[in-house]
Amino acid sequence: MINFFKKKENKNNNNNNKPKLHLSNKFPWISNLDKNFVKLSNQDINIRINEINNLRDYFNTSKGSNQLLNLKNSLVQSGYPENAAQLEIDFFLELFDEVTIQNLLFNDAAGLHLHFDNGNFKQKIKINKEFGLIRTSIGKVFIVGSSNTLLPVLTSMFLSYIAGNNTVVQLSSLHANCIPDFIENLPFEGVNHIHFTKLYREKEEDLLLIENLIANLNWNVINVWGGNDSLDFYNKIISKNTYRPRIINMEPLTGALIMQQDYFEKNLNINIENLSSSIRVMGQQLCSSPTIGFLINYNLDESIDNIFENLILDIEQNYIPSSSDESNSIKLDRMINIARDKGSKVYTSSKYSNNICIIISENQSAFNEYNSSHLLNIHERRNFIEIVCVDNFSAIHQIINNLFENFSYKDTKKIQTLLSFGDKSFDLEVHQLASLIGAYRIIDSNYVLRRHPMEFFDNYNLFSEFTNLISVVGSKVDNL
Amino acid sequence: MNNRPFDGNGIPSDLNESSSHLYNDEYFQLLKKTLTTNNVVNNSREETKNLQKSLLYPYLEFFIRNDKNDFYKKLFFNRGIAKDQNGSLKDNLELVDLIKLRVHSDDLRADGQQQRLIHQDIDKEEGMSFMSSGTTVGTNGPVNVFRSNISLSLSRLTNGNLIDWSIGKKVNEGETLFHMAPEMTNFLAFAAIGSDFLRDRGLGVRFGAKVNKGPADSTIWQRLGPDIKQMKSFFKDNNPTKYFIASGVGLYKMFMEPKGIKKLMMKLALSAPPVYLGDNGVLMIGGGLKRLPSSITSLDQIVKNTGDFILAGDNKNAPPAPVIDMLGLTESLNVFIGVPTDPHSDDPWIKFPHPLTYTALLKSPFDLTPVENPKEGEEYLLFYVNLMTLDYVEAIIPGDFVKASKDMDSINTALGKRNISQNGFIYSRRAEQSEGFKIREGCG
Repeated sequence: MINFFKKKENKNNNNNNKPKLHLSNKFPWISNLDKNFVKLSNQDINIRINEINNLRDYFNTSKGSNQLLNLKNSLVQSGYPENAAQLEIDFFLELFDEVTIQNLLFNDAAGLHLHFDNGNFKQKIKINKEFGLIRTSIGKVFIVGSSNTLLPVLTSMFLSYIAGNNTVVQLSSLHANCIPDFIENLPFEGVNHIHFTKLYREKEEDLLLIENLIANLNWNVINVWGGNDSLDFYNKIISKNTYRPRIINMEPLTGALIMQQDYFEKNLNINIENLSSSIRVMGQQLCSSPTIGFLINYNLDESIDNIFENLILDIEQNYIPSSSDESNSIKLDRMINIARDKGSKVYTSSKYSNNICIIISENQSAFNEYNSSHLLNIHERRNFIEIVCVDNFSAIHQIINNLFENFSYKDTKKIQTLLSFGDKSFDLEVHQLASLIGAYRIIDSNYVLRRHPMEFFDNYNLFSEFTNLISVVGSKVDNL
Repeated sequence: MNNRPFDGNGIPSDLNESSSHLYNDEYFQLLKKTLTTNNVVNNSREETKNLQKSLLYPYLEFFIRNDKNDFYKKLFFNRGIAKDQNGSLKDNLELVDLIKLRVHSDDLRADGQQQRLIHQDIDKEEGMSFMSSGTTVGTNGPVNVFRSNISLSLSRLTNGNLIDWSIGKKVNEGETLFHMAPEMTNFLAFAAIGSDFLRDRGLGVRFGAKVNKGPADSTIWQRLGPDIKQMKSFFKDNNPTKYFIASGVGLYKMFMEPKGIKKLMMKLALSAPPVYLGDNGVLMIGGGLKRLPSSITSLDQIVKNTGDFILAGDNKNAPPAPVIDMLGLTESLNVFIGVPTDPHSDDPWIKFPHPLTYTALLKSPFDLTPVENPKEGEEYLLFYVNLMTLDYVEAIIPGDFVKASKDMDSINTALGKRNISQNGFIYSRRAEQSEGFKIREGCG
């Protein structure tokens, strides 16, 4: 009996080994991962921080700025709207700003400020006489990028490298070539520790390789940025990984706008500009993009027409056409007709017709009773927002609780961001609402696309997640 | 003879319109008078515009007067053509304002039409429901449209106007073969309305297909087979006026698909091809390209290939029968009719609406604004309003792209010159689902 099980065990082990051998042929860097880990682990983290600081200077050289220009052109060629590509580049450069790096690595909110030592990162710290910490690299990190925006995957990648990890990146097919070309040509040691799979999930022949790569290597952290389909796909594979890596899922989320009418009207022009940009930025496709709104203390008279007609005009002035689908445009018109027939106020653009649309409904959404054959998903909508006029915050809570049953929000997990246009007492209620619905952010319009460096990413501090924290206790603290 | 081939299927021959509660309605009486005084298809384009304009308020008021649960009173207000929810229409409405009442075909799928119907209880209202084939994926069922007998009685007049105009004479004699099964007249609008009209005009009607027995879970389309006996009797009939009404698929399966021994067997069974339609014979076709091989990209390919087998005469030296192509939609009480065309001609197949079908070409699915002066050959989205449909506001965007035709007052056809009462269009394609740039799949 014992022998039988032994044989079976060996057989299983052999099976596990096969894909690894195959993977090493495809990805030569696999065989060096453990060796490199030792190297990175022994290296002072400040060397890597300096490297990143030096990249800031590099991007100011003609070679560096040419490289950025090539990246932008590649993004545009792959289908990115030009302004979106430029925004990505601008925000990518902010990542290398000295203050940003300081905030990311010594984030008070995450307790990382304890590692601050005269401008350097001190890995070993004494908290008190009996307790200390050593923050080290964690080992192997696998990051999956999404296709909507580059910034999150790039932020994860650089933080993982600074933390001292071997980092492997699986990108969306939109970025599968341009990002590796860009990173691999940067003048820093990270190019030897950041690897790209260059595999396409859409390709049948790559699927098995992706599965082998994720399921069979002893990853320490797997960080997935993606939509529902993508998360389902990767998490199914991750569940087969017997090393049980730490999983950081960045779920598909969305934003909600909360408006206090009299507050909004006090600074009407500025607020219109700010709300307009919040709706437009990145094609309204960010987890923080407002896709539904709520108006409190409302007055459905001419003043409301004034707000939304001017908002339409501002969006019109900054309108960038996106490639859209004929049948989706017909569905959009059907949605708008539903809203009109339900008695909602509908504002559309005289210049761009339904392509800019604001719907004002009273008490509840006009779309509650409709399904996929009538509605567009939020991912298929641009410059479109329904704002529900409600009497109080309890009504908002109730609507948001039921929101994800609506087809338009299918595959979206929850409200990530509350974009507030309100005064202090209003915001106090926004705080309470955020707590009830489990939102992660309350922002003004400057932070729809932008993240504050001290922010947690959907409750995760990525730098902390990419490190291993060793507690040193008792008399051992003396030896730190 | 006339009723036998229907075998109890389809639209009843006696529509008993006077029993409808709408019979005495002033708008119905106005339409009836308009349609029986003379053939409005002979109107000039200006006269048609004036006629449509004169019907605009009576048409809208008809729905306010006969409203069910205030549906239209609210709709007209919400869509911006009424001053209030009590049915006070705005002043100075124009025909282009009808675009505000648009219904997309997809809104008529499943029970979508129900709320729009003016009838209190359609089970009590005499009429029939017509359905599309329901083959479009990602929808919640076929387009399903109820038509009351009183609306169908108007369709006999309007579709009659169109066919008389296209053929160039009052169609009231001859034989017809519908290349479909009589059971299909129970739900297929084109089959039901076309055959009903021809029977009503006194023509002999035959059906060239039948529904065979088959597994319980099979569809009527899967059990459809030829009715050789009916076809043969039509082909043998010596009447000098025969109308052969077929779909592109029917013609393909009969004349293009059979090869070798199959072709020989077809010839033995039917004594055709060639098909002799008599000196006044016409081939009428309709339908799309569904169920045709991918090598067939337009119906005129089929017509060109079969033209020499379907002849207007009684011998092999007779010329090819002229072809009239029709666009029939479940969601339209009227067809859009073509003019007689030589099957070998390269002339575009222009479809013409009835003068009571207000037609507008819209810029695009992204901008549904009616275009005032469409440019010849450019593609637009079709929109029409059937002013003679009484059951609901039939203001439809069917999701079809058409190309604008040349501005003209008359057109030369294979059977002579025809007056143009309203600009026609050339069918182009269905709206497509293309993969745009998807900037979003996840988070950030």
